[in-house]
Amino acid sequence: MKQKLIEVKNLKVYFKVKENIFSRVKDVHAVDDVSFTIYKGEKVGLVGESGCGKTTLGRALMGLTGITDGKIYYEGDDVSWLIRKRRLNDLYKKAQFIFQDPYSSLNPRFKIFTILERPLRNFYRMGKEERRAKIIKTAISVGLDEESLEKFPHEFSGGQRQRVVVARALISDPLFLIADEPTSSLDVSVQAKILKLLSDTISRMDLSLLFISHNLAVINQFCDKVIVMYLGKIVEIAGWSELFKNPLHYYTQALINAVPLKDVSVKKIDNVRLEGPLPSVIDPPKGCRLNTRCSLATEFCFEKEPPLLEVKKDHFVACHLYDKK
Amino acid sequence: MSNKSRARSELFTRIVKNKKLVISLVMVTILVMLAIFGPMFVPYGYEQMNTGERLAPPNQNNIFGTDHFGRDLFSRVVYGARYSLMISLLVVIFSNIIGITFGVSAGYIGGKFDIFAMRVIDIIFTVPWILIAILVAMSIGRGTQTVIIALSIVYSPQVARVIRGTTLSLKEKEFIEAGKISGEKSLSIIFRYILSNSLGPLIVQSTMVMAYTMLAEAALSYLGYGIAPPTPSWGLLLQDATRYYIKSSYLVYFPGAAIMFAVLSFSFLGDGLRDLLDPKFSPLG
Amino acid sequence: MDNKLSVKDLNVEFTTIKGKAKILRDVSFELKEHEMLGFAGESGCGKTMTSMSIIRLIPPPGKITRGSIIFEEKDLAQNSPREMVDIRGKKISIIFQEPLTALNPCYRVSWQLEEILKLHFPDMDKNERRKRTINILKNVGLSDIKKVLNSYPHQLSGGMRQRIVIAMAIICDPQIMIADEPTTALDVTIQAEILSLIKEIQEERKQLSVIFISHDINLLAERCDRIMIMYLGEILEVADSDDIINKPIHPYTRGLIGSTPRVSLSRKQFDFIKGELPSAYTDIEGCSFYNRCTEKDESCRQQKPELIDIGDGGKQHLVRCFKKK
Repeated sequence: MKQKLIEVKNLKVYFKVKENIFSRVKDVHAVDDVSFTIYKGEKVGLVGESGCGKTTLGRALMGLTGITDGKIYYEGDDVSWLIRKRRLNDLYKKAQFIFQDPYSSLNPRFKIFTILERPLRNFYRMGKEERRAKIIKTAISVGLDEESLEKFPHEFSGGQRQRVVVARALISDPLFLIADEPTSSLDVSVQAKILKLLSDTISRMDLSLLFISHNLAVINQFCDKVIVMYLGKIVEIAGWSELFKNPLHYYTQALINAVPLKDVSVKKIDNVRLEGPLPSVIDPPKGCRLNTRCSLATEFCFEKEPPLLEVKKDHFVACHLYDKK
Repeated sequence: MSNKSRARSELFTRIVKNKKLVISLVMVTILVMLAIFGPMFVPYGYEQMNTGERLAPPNQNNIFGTDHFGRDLFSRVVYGARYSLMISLLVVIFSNIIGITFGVSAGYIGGKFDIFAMRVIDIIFTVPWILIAILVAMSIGRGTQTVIIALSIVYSPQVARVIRGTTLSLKEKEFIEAGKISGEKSLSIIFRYILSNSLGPLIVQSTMVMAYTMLAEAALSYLGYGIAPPTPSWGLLLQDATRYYIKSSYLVYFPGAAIMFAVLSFSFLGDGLRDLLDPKFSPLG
Repeated sequence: MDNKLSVKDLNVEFTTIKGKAKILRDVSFELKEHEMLGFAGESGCGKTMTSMSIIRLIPPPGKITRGSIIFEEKDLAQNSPREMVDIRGKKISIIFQEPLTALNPCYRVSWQLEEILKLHFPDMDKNERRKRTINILKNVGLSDIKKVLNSYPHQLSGGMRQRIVIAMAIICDPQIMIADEPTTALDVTIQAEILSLIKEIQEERKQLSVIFISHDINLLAERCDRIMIMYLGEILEVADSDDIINKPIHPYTRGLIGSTPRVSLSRKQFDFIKGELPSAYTDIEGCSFYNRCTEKDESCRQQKPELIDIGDGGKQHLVRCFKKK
């Protein structure tokens, strides 16, 4: 029986913005009423294009941004309350974050040893020797040798730095990793190594992973489950092979179609094209967010927002075309 | 060659190739040596009178000549180095303390606090520095401490602005957030993450403050708000010379040259360091 | 058939404090008439530097130390800056990765386009310029042209900006267009549109050949006629796109294709290339891929292999490898 690790219910993250001096303060609906579950040991891919809210969602789960409304449960405990109260240390012991740019996510003034030591010093009471042993063990598990610990980040290549970032995320023994485009700034050949590292680590330590990316090919080959977001909302959730075999939502179909050089097993869906510009995240359109760009949109799509429904086992989609009512 | 030793030899080459840096380092070393060891080797004490004929031009006995009390100018200039450097160093330290406190908190906390703190800084910046010095002198009288306090206040805005700038640009960097999720507290973030990565601009700014302070101290002492005689600050030496310089112009030249030498050396050092610490070349600043 | 561009033994060096970095080592290739040639490779391979050399915009302290770039019977490597001004934008144009920084934020779109015409066709009158400007925007698939012409770059979406950049590149009917990662900064769905647009333009204009640079080999394979694989400043393999993807010969090419994930309904083991890229400052006697190759032997270390045509049936397939004769 799969164990639930993370449960997100009706999460909303809105930011206040003023377009110019004369306008009123408006809300950017970065993450708008999002709900999903992540099970233990699952690698969940979160995919979407710019402005969809995937990065904001990842950061909200980590407490890096505030939450406007909704609940987040880690192993049954309500952490959204912790985030609101900024009692974040407890959250940081349960979840950790892997940033995108290995060149700016490591303090240039810290030796690798220090970078790995800080979380241990801040979260746990450990003797010096015990700490040192754990640091060495973690470094080796990500493929770094003991000598690297005495070096500084600028002495390493991008791929090696990302290994340090992974080590730092693992060292406090979290249950859950959030990786925000962890390989997007790396060369393809290096990307493969880091993905393998992540994959091995997740299975070895029985962790869950939320893998945020705009790269469908990586998500296709790496993740167990995929969540597709558009303009702050989840439009589809399915297991990886189910999603690419039977994409139900028009937007998912457009995304998959747009990927160059797919394997022949993945069918190209005809007549799926996104027309028109991306609507504003500040004043999202009434009804389904895709209505101005979807060629299958009906009148109803302009009136009511489609709920996210389970139309097949473990396959959720938010589209009126699949809503029996 | 290992990465580390390659980086070191690269650094060495960069330093050696930068002529301004090399010359200024030599000049500064001379100054520091003079300040520390000079007084041990001079022929006369700085208040020793009648070491030769009064108002004697440079001669065998007194290589820089003597002043109206017969005090040896050379000895006084050498002693002056010690005082000028020491005062400047203290001003650098205190202006940094004030400036960094304002700057980093303004940058880090942001919002209304930032606006308020920077307006205070702006006010200090706009008031003419002599006025600030006079105000301090009026409260606590003239003297070395007056100079130090006044100039520390006067130069703190520059430090504050530099630090606020680096804080703002670093605040957005991912390693700061990474630090936070590693459980780092705000104070740790400020010192270990922000300030330690702002050293470059800070060091350059500090050398400039050294240069400015030497000039300003000379001016203040000359005007009578600074150091009290008979302490031989270079500015005081200039003040002494005012009455006699028409006939004994050397009384102006030697202290003047000393001031110029000191100011230039720190100024060049600042320029040279700025080139060296160019962001293209990590790890400092 | 005459070649549009013929590069022979091109060598570019950067001289810094660290020494001499060989950025391009004996690069030789041909750009045929009316073809789309892809430059593939990872960071530091020299693909961008090759294109910069063609239009003579190599940033200092780099310079061409040897070789020729023959275009329209002249050697571009010998041209004076004055002569290059006549060529850039008019005969050979280039589009870059980030459309926002390629456009001048202070001027409207109409100005940006008309400036180019004023520079290269000083005798053209105002009406003719207007006509051409409007026409070219139609060619790149923009609608509501009057509005676009009057807009500033920041008022337009990323996809629209890139279309304008492309318009600027083809407004003078160039012979060669270089596209350097033109879609990397764009969303996946927009990327597909821009790629189609570039391919369309290349096919319509009989006098135009395109050099398309990308780190994503799948992207190149979908649209380019031929692909050239670069590594550490050298060309390792050149062949038709189909052959590169389906019958890659060089171990590096195979590693590159193996580590590039592809959307599929089956899972493939992530391939990766072991080892690290050597520094550009090192002089390599033998094969540049030696330290990472899994199929090497002693002779590979001592001598540098030549680029040899092993294609059969009239199709050219160049490989730089001793093992593949």
